[in-house]
Amino acid sequence: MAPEQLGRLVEQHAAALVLYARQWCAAPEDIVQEAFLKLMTEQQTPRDVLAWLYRVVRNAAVSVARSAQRRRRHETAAAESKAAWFAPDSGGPLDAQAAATALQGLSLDEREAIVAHLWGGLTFEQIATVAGCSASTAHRRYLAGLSTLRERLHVPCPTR
Amino acid sequence: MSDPINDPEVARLEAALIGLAPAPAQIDRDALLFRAGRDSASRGRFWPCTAALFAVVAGGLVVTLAVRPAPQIAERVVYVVVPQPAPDAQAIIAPPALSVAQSESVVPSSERARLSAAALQQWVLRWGVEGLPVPVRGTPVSTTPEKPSPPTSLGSYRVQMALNLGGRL
Repeated sequence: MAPEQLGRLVEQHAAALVLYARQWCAAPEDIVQEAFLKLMTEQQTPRDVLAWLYRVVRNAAVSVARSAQRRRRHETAAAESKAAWFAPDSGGPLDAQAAATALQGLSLDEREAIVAHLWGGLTFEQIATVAGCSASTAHRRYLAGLSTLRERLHVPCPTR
Repeated sequence: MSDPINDPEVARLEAALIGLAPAPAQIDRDALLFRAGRDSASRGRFWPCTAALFAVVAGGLVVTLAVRPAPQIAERVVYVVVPQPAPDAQAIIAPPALSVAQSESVVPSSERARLSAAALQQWVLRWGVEGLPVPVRGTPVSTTPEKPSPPTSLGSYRVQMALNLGGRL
């Protein structure tokens, strides 16, 4: 892969990948960086580069989460990172902190589907490939997560 | 599967969530590209393995040299056979080249008849076949057998020959 192409991928998808990896671990930057390096050293460029990146990041994040879970017995919860999930000055109708808190309350499968589809731009087929499930299952998780978020964020009903 | 969201509330929530921008990644793009280039350049393992192999060999040689016992000095007596010096070529006296005529004058026929076979053999052994007198053409050879005289030794012949030479001079 050409360095220019890698730089373009970093600019376009690094933030979403970090947000995606943050679903499992507290230090996702290292995982995303290693994923880009692994992509650079691949002999053949993957057919679906975006899905490949998300799958590599997911596997690494899950592995790190398991290691962190073992270490957590000897550490306090205060040591966990409280990094912001979203930029505070997004300017949208939703509060970034409230949205992050609501997302953290979802199940991991629903949260993964929402983050990968909304901010990662992956289709449900790609999400199914990454998560190891069917596309319909990924779509169902996505809708279920949105319904839960709507209830927790108290999104007002649109005027008809 | 990517059907549009039919529920307007869910669609509005979806639009609102998309409006939230993920926090910027703390990833240095230039450093990442540098690391990617460095990792891709150091992919070969041939030279590191070769260097490691030679390092092990060099270490083994150093250990072998360090623990090797001191060399033992072997003392032995060597006998060298010295060849006998060759006889001086100048000391070899060339045989006198005598013609038949000279030999007849030096050695009379009566004396030549007295030469025994043993004396001739000694003559040949000492001076070689070339030392025998060369017969001259036209010289009559006596066919009458002479009366054999008693054999004498080569030493006496030589003494007589010297006396004859001296007598002629």
